[in-house]
Amino acid sequence: MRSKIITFLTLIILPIIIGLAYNSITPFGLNIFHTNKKHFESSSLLFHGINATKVNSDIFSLISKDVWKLNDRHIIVFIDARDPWEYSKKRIANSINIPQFSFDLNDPKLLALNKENLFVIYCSSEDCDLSFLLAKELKRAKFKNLAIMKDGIEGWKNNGLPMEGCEP
Amino acid sequence: MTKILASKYLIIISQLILAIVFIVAGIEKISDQTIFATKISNYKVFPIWSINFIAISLPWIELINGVLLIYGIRKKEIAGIFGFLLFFFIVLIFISILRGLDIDCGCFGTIDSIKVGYAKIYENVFLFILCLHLYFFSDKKANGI
Repeated sequence: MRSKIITFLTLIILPIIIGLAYNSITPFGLNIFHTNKKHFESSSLLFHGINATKVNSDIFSLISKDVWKLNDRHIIVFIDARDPWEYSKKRIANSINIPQFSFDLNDPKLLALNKENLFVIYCSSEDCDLSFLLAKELKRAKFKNLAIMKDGIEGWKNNGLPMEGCEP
Repeated sequence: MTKILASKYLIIISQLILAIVFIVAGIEKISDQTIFATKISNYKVFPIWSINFIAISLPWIELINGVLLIYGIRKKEIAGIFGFLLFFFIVLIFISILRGLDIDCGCFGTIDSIKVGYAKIYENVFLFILCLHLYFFSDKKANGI
């Protein structure tokens, strides 16, 4: 019985040790104990001339200040991934609300969008992952220029950038 | 019936199916750990601190035990480990269906974008039965077969 337990443990622990060793040498290694809910970002890159990082292979991540700079140079379509009631309280001016939880490929709001435009998706704050999840859905729906604003509407507000909505 | 189930050919078939499925699943998950970690987080049942650890370690458990199983090493114990994992996956997928989550299963890392659903449960139940078969019959002698 004791030897069986040792065998079981070996068959589980040995692969874990190998996995951790591989993770430490691969350039795509992850932080073993991840504490930030925001997803797994890689090295710094440029997105339309603005500093950005990449979350998974296709989606860029920017901070609100840089999104504002980008807004000066390009026409951005802002997409709010939060619930409609949160969106109604405060939002980036002229943003479109496409709640991630009820994402539907046949949503008329989605069909009306030009997939060639530049889209920046946001949710509430750095701890929220709705923007990332929605970006993945949009990528699958063949949207080409996608970025998420990683500090969300909180970061936008803290930088004193213009907003609209019923909440002061 | 026991004689048939204990047939060495049936044992080899169960062994190879399980080994190949888990090797492919392990390799695919290792090939993009970030995407696998994201898929785990989509289930919204694991604490944030544990997600990367699971994404790093689980694929290697699948891969190494799959390779050992191909060679017939420690069949019973590996069938036990795979059976436990499959039972856990079945419960996890079932909970996700009940919660109405429309997410990728992540079962084969990046190569499948199959959503969680009953088809995935049936698939896992089939593999789970193979594990039970290996666990209970791999060390039994099939007299006459």
